[in-house]
Amino acid sequence: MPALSCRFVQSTCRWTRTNHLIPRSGKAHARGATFTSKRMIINGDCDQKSVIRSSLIMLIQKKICVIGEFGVGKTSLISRYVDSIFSDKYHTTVGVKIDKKQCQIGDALVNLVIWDLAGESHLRTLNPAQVRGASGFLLVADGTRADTIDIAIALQRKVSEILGPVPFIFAINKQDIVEQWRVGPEVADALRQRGWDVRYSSAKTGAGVEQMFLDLASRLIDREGAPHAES
Amino acid sequence: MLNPDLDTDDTLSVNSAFPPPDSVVFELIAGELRQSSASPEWLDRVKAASGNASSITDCLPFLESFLPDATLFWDHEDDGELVSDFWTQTDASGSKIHLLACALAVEGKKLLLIRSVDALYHQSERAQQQAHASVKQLKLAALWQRGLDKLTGSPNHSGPGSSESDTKDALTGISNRQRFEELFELELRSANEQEAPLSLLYLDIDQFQLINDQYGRPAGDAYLRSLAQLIEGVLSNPKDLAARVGGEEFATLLPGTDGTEAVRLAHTLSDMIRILKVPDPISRGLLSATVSIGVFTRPSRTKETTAQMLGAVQGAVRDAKRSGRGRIVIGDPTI
Repeated sequence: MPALSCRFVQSTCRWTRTNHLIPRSGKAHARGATFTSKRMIINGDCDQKSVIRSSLIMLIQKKICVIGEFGVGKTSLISRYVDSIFSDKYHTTVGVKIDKKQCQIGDALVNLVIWDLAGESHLRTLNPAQVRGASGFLLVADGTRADTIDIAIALQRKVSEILGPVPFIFAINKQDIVEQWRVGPEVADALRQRGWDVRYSSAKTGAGVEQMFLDLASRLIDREGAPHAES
Repeated sequence: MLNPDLDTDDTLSVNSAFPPPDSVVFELIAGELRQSSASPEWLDRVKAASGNASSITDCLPFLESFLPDATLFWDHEDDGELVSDFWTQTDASGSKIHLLACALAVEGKKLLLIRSVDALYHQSERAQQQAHASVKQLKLAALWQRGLDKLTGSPNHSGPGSSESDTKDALTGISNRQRFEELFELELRSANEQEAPLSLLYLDIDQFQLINDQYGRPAGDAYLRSLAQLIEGVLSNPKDLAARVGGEEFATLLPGTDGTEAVRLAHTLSDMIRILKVPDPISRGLLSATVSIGVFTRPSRTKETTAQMLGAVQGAVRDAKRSGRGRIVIGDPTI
């Protein structure tokens, strides 16, 4: 009978030299960097041919959450980023949808574990247990629905109370139908003045999507100097 | 899916007659979850997609959020169950697998059952979609009702599902930003349908912070109240709307007003505000200020959106400030 043990790993990151993994141990220090992500998973036989170019590749796994009002396009943004696809059909997310995507940031190979949390609504409010452990988050609003901005601002406060000052990016989505937007540039300007990283995105065209995830991943592995907005 | 431990020669044919299991059971033994049933086909696919991860939480990350609650449940309950939220994972081919976990306490045993629940998920998905559609329809209905009340002059401007505090600025008593945005959208649609012009004025008090700094915030608030009354009093058309849209920013929406009339009104407002003196009971001084005003008129049969109009007047206000304050500048939506 196969046995899966449930281990809550506290080690932080690991290094691989070509295809050889250094044994798991506490914190990893290299090139003066200490990584303090909550947990690190090693995929011994993953197909990382494309990334094992340098002699030393750091593997890091990070959980991020995607949060926002229902119908703002959270799942579509993830589908665009992870699978490069978009569907006009509205699929509501029930509960949580979890996707994984690997990206390379400098010398680090980052396994992003993306938690797509069902949209905030009268039917559902944010479950702190599902947010905990995230190293950062993507906050999403819909440019055609001004109320989704207010909800995003409220959610940012809630999530920051749970996670502390972790990096996040605020995406005002549906840029492909900007003529229907009810959110003016002054909103983004005001939030930027509060230190928020505000982006415009379109899951439909892909505009701004990949860069947004890459920038967030980059901040996750390099927390020093990353902008952390005040709530 | 055959279970090598359970499927003997005698039972093989019987097991083959039943559909493969859609659930997997783990038992908590000495602080570790050990798999105590055969692996369903979906678990193999999930494990393969996770690079054959070594632990259950690597393979099923959602459990990181559920196991703390489950542990509490097992610690305090001898009998019963705790069901998780739905979660969805994808296999290597991109197919979605919808799952539910259930922590069980049965006769001293602590079990974790994870089940593939496609049918139940889709049922919940349909119900949630209908609920979301209803919420959107209710919001739209409330918006239209408020607009209708406003257009027909009904005293119940706030409409169903919305209290006056939702639409009025608490300090000045005139419309707030939310109401302004809602009516702006409606008036734009109306302007399109009727092929009528729509004008917008944006007023920003010059150096208002100086009033607050010199006389205190209560005095500043008194000035804002007086200014709001002045602006509302100057508007003569029942369809016109005055709103406080920011700390010291006001907007007026002028349906059916052309550019010439909008600029004339802006000059009237600017002149009247310039001579407005609000007494401060504490210092016995008189508070006065000027405003920078941005004006934009959307002619009939044009395509400017609310965002473009707002951008135009706000840009015009910035130009007015840069050019010495107390000015009126016509906005350009292309800038």
